[in-house]
Amino acid sequence: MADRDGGGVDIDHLQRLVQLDLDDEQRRGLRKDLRQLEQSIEGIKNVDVEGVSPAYQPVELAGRERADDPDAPLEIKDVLEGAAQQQRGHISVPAAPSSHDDK
Amino acid sequence: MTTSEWSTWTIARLQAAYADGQLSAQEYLAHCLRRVEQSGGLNAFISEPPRQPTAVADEGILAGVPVAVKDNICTTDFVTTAASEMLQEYQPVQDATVVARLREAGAVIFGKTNLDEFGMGATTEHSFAGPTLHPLDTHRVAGGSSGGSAVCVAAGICPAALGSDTGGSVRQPASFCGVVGFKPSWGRVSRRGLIAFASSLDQVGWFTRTVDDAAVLFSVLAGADEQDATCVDRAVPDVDPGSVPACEPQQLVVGLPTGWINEVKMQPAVKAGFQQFVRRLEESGVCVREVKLHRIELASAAYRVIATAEASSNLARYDGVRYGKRAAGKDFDQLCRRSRTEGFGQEVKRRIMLGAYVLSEGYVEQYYEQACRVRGAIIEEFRQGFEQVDVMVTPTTPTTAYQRGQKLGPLGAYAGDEFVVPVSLAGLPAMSLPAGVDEDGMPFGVQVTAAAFGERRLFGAARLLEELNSGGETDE
Repeated sequence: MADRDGGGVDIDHLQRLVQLDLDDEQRRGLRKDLRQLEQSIEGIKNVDVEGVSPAYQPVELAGRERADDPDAPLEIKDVLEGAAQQQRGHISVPAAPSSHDDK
Repeated sequence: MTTSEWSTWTIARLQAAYADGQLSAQEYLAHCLRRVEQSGGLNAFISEPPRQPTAVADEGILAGVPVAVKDNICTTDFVTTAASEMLQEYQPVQDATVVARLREAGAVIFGKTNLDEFGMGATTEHSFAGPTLHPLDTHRVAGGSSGGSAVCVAAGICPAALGSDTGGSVRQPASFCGVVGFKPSWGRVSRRGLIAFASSLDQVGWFTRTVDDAAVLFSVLAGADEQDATCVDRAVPDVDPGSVPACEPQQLVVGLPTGWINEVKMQPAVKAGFQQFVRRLEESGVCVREVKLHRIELASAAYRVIATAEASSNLARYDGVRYGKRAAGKDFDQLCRRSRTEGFGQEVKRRIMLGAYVLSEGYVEQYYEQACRVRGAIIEEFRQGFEQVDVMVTPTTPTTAYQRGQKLGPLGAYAGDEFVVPVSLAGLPAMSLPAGVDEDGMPFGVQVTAAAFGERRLFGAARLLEELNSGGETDE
């Protein structure tokens, strides 16, 4: 059964979205935080900003192309060093479960 | 001259000493390393500078100048952890552009400083390396999230340090620690290699002892970067004191957003100190004019929505695969979930969850889109405000440094950010200047803000305000 707070937030769903496991205490804390956050941002829901374009960043950005010159790529061995597990020159991970697998 | 004086030297004074043979860069670096040892209890560093002799450049505007770097800025010679278990062993394969520019200018990268994990916090207590302590009172926090960098400059470890400022993370610790903290306009300085928290707000900034030193770093670090599409390609103004001297008081119009200031509950000593600062401005002949910013009270709410949404999105990249912590898992999903659960600290998890909430179906229009529209309205109000005045001034923080371990709550830290957050939201350049101390001797600052890309005007005004704050005495 989904774990919902009074405002209808499905904590299980949020956890799945962000790939985190929370313990019971963290879930209780989160419910409280979500309520406080909701109250604190309630004010912006009904502000009249008709005609104002959303500012996704503070400065208007124009697309800029770099010169079409090949650049030195990263060394594969340097990149692989960052990964916890490597196999035959590739980063290795366990298989992703297929949709038929039991979780 | 005693070596203890070296700890108060500015970059300009240091370079003069190098030039006339008063001391060598190696002698000065050895002194700085001793300061690191003496200040070890403050926990300013995650990676201390190496003890062995460092090769020092002979040429460059920062030749032989040690600059500490916040540990969310990539360096090839130090691990870069962002104060997170997730990146505890992360070794970048490239320097951040700002680090590369420092090296080209001859600077010595002097260790990596402590912060709140991924820059999320206002106290430098949310770090896997433990809290950074205030150099004047170790029962108090240094501020955050760039607390380690602020302490480096305040404790006389080195004359300059890089930080990053998303919602005040340079200016607030600068205010708490009594040093200069500068945040350039968003887009003025490359963010390539700065580990992202909230990309539309993040900006590299820095701590120095004087406005002139902040200008030296600006001349090195500002300017387009073809590897950062959000770093704008526009002329960088010369802010050298020879080019931009302190403004003449009679030629400066300072805006006072009294409606905004009166809304914020302040510690009485900070309020009185700010009022005194304004009186000094007026007495010196500066024209102080009230400006109205009607939507400013919505800035904190808009910031909460935008910053958590962007954090949730940015931190999705930590999946335990390519780099960072990897926990065991029977399949990819389990590996990813366990790596994130074990790798992120509490505060980061909380913000990721809140961000996912405001971005979830049904809420994204109501909250995120609306917050971005509110941000647009605030940017426009600031733009109109700066048509009437050269700069605006407010306190940087409503209080001096908090006691350590104080429970700020999910909104508590934001309440302390009331003056710095709107400026971040609008992407404006701003500087915190030391302005006084409270009854316990703890510092507080004033924030000077200019129009977007108005750094030239900002530095001219800041030089005058610095002179007025120091009672007319000039450094050196």
